[in-house]
Amino acid sequence: MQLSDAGYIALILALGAALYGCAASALGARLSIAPLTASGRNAIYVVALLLVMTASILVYSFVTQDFGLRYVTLHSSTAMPWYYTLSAFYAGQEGSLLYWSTLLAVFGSVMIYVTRRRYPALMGYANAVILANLSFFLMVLVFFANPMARLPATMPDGVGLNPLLQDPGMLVHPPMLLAGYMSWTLPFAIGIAALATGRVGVEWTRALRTPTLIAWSIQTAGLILGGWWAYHVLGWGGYWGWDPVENVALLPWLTGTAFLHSVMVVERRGKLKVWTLSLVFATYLLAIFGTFIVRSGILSSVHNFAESDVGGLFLGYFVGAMILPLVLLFWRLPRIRDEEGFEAVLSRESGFLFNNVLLFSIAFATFWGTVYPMVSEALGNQRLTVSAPFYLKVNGPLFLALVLLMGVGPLLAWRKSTGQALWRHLRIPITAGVLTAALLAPLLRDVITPIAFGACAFVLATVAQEYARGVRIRRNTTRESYPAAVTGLVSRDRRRYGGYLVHVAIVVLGIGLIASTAFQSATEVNLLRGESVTIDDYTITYAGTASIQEPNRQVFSSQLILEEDGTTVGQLFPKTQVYPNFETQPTNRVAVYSTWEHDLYVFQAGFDDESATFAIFINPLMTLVWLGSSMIFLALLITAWPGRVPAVRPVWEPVGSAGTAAPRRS
Amino acid sequence: MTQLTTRQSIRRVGICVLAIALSFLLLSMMPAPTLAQDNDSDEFSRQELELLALSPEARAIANKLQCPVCDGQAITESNATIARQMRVRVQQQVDDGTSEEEILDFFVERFGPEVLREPRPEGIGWGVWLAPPIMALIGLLIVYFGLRSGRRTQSQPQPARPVPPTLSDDDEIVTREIGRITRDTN
Repeated sequence: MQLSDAGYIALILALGAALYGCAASALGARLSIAPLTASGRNAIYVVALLLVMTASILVYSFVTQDFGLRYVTLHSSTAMPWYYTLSAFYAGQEGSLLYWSTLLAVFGSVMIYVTRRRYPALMGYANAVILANLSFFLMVLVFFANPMARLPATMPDGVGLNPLLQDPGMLVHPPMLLAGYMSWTLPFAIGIAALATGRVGVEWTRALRTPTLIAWSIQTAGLILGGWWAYHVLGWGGYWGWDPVENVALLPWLTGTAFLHSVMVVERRGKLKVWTLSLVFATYLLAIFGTFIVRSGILSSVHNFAESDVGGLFLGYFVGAMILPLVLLFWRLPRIRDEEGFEAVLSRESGFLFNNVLLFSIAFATFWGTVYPMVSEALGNQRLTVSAPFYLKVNGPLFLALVLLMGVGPLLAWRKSTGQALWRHLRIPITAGVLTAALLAPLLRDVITPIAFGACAFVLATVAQEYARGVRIRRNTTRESYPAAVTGLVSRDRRRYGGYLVHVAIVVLGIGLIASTAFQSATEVNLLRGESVTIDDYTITYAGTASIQEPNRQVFSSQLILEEDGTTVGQLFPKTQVYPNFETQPTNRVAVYSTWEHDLYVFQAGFDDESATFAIFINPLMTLVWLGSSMIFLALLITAWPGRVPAVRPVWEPVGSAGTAAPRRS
Repeated sequence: MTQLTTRQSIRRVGICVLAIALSFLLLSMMPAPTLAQDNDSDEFSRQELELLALSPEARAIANKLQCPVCDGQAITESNATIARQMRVRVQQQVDDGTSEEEILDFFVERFGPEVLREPRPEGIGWGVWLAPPIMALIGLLIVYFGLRSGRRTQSQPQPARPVPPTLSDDDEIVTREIGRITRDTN
């Protein structure tokens, strides 16, 4: 028996344990049989253990280059450096599904273990949902996409890894994005549990808080790393191409962001429960859609690495996962429906509602553009392409409105806001925004970008004003030093003041996005050896192209001498890489010279004996894109830093004849 | 609430700075450049390479054309042979003084409407442009009228409700049970 056979057996056992645990948890929770629920909990720990074991065996097979294993042979070769050999783990469908399931089992186990006493009733059902999800993925792994399948004979060497994946960015981007998709399962499970138990007060929102923040962070990181990879490899001077696979990764992020806002209305006012739960469910479904699209090859994209035949299965699962929450929502509607409307058109609640409408509209437009080629082909027998220009025109104004709302929302009072009070708070931010737009307008010779930058300044001014107000009030009573007052203010209300910092980070990122999209300049030039080209203050001299044979690839690297105002500031080495077995897919590595004002970005478009062609871009304020992205995580860290754990409230049994109206609990 | 001493706040700021540094470290995985002398490969003739250098007008037009064989890339973004040929063609036509509309028509005739990166608003192409604004409008109207109708019911005199707006699960159960017992005893 081979080691990989042990891995396959572990997968089968995991499937058995998941199916059992799902049934045990659901029954235990429904019939209030505590030992059964506990047994279901143990099942998910077992599944996690077995999956970690299988994943370790696959890693071990990659490291020891077991070319008798089909998956290892198809995705790695002896010439690959060890880190790409490891990243080959998720290069194909079988491996990505195994990775997805392993992570879900581990994340799920951690959540169930940590919260089993705090939310006993919720976690029974949540565990059942997670295990149901795992059962499906394990079934696909065991019957349709076995990563442990062996070849009839052991091969001398493997095929190697898709060249696009052989990049440092690709070591982290796909696993992060898959982890992001995976992590929306936990909020989904809690949402289902809330409906199943009928405990639709505030408990579920509290249980949801950490899982959603974690999911949102991972999803954000996956998106940003994807942009970073595209920027350094694809060579068209950008980082976001509105490519179908990028779009479907953005969808759960948009609905997840909408949820993070609407859940505050649920907690504060007990309203919008149906809508907020729907957002949780939609986000999970979009995450499954994303996982499925990346693996299906239905949409044409630069990110599709593995084509598969499990599309039908995923579709079935998707439909099932859509019907269950709909049925539950309908069943619980009398209990969760808003009993009364909102007090005023102008209030914090309405701010969140408009935020949700905008995010939803962006998500819809993105989804619609992504699937429209299929729609037009089905309806009009006409293939169309919907790409970046469409999304910039449609989503651009919606994003601008969202930024403006970011500046107004925090100034609105809960329940009811009067026009005068709002105007008093808005005076300074509006002045800041209008001044910025007016000052930039003559410089930029454009209409839209000064408005967009003005909107950004407006948001920054709002946040600064909110902080200043909080610190002033605090210092009036405590007489602390300024830094102590700021940290005290933030730790008093992390969600609010940390959330503002996330807004600041998003705005910094936004300024970078606007500048680098609107003011990018591109030059394409063919240079003879020794010839120079002058772009802005830079003079770039082409020294020549060299061919280097590396163990796993051939690299064609050009040398460019970069001068700024007559002094040499550095050298740039844009490269083209050719991998054995993938000769028709040369990949590129752009050379970037970064300063605070802009990136000088050089892509080698072609070369021959005496000359080479380069696409040279000047991307303004790119540093802000990466700075803003980093700031998001810092701000999230402040927001989600573990604070006080709310005390456990005693579990009451209703007075009178027990059990008639009250939900059962374990 | 606990007061933070200056020292504690400094420590927290320190943690933050450390976190920034770490995230920057993650984002700065630039490869070390390598250098050598000899050169190789001649995929394209000098003439073709020269033509690849696009003028700004030609680039703007080329950005609107999809590479037919690559997945989701404009012809300016792709290194594929067909994309290069199309770029050369765009540049030639721009040099000949052909208008943008005519150049786009030229490619639509040869490759079909899917060569355009944004569908023209005609025929079935209308659908992609119309649905998003309609959806956004519907959303805004629902929210606006939802908020207004809520206010109207609110402004009518309502019986005083002793129940706070947000009830915990247990509170809800208690309220319901007490209500039931009261009904039963009446």
